[in-house]
Amino acid sequence: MLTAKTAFRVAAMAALALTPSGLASGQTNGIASPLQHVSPTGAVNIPQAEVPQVSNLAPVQPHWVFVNRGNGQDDTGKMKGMVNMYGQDSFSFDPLGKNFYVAQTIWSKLDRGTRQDSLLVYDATTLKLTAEVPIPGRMLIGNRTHNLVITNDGKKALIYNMQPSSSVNVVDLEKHTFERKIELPGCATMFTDTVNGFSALCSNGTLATVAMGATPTITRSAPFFSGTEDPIFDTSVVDRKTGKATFLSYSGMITPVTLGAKPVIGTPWSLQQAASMRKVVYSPLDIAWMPGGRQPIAVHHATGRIYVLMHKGEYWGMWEPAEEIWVLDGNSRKLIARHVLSGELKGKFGNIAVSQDANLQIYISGSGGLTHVLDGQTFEKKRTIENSGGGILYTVQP
Amino acid sequence: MTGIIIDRIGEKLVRRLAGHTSRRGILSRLGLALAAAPVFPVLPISRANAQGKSNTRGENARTRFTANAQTKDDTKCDYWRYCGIDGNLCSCCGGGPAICPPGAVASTTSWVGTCINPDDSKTYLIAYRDCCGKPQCGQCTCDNMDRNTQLYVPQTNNDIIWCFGLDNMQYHCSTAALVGAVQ
Repeated sequence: MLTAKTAFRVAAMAALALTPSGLASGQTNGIASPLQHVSPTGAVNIPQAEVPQVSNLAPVQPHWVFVNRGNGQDDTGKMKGMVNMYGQDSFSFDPLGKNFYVAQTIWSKLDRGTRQDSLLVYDATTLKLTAEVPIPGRMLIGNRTHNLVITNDGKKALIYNMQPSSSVNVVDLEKHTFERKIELPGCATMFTDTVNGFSALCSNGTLATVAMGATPTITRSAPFFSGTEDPIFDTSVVDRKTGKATFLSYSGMITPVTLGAKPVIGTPWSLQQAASMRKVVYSPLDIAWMPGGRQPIAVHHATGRIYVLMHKGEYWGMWEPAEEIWVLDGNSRKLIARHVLSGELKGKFGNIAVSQDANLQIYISGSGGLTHVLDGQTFEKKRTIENSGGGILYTVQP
Repeated sequence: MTGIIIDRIGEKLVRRLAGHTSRRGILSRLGLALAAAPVFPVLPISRANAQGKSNTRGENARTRFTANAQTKDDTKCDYWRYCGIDGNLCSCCGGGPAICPPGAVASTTSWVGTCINPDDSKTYLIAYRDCCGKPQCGQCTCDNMDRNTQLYVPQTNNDIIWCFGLDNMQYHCSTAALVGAVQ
């Protein structure tokens, strides 16, 4: 079993193309069929000696899913490449599409020596390391989606740090230099907004919003949740283009928030009530349908549809794997469908992501290093990718 | 009575902190303690006290883990102290439930949990300390959930590598030290 803490020894972020497709641009399969060397007249062409070549990565497609903690391929879902990562590293797409970013910690002598924290910049086509920016620390934790985020204009990388006081290290992505440290006491889990700043969830149930500038300013909302009684999952989702965040709590409360200079915190609603059930009181010995998993929520931003991994469970069962996927309309706050995960899909998966195109696909991952691809309309399993890693899933937002 | 015990716990923690940290380290930990302040009042311990139902405290805090916990084998994930642990059990790596394996370094910081001992049905404060400075042990991997919070409430988050303040923050395994009874 892999946990967020024990992910250190396993590594890598694999990009899996989940539709059978041709080779990426510039890629060759390296082996020519003998038939290709026979001319119509029967003359045999002598194959030219092959020289070492390296392929490039095609532009990231909506149906590519990036899987933390592993690499893999199967007969139909083709592995496209691997972004170098270790289990405690953080990953982020570039809003401009030019790079992949990794916040990484290594030691000069493998498991000892000088600790080195840095932001790594990988070219999105060649996957070559193009820049390495030293930073003064970062939090060591795996499987989180909001510890490395990029501002909406693509100019700043924000890396969460805890030593053990909380702060954010800012890297200038144009100059490739460390810019500043922003103290952020009591808060973590960064969500970027549309004005090139970010907001973070805080232990006292507030939202801290940081306006970037010559001197960053921090404002805090009124409390709107309990960080200890009914925490919001720190893998909740934000639409980068609109700043609309969808926060999901352990008990199944969804709070819509529009991020910006002055965040607008919407009225929380119960996804169980949306399914005509009673609202869950998060308390001992109360069994109900609850969200669960490390990454239990995905949102299809164009339609506002919310996909939540659900299980029948109780108090402090928030990592329990899913028995069903619930689909809800975030606009009308109504349940659209409940899809039962049966057979090999039942009770094994704690991560969900969806593609952001019109031809929606659903991705779930979890135990056994498996990632499954489900049809977005029928929920039919389209394929299984073995050895893909069982970690957090990332899909690109075009 | 509760106040006295909590005072003792506090004294123990402060003495330990003072004996293992630099002034700079203490400052950073004070920051964490201050951040933690709003959290402790709403732990199950204080909730039960606030309700004046100390005799039902165990029942109020009961979880699926507690219902199935055992007190005999500290190399199993369901050992009662492990209600909020995550990682490799040091008991399986050459150490014990509160002892680091040879060659490791015990962290001076910890996350905390409140677990019920099924033998006496009392609630105990547990300090989960990581053992650090060696490669990951890899044995007896557990990931229990009781009262586990998200990153923005770090003192009860078990995913964090709690090796702060050490020369080497490599994670090896996790211990579950008994701090004291809550009632």
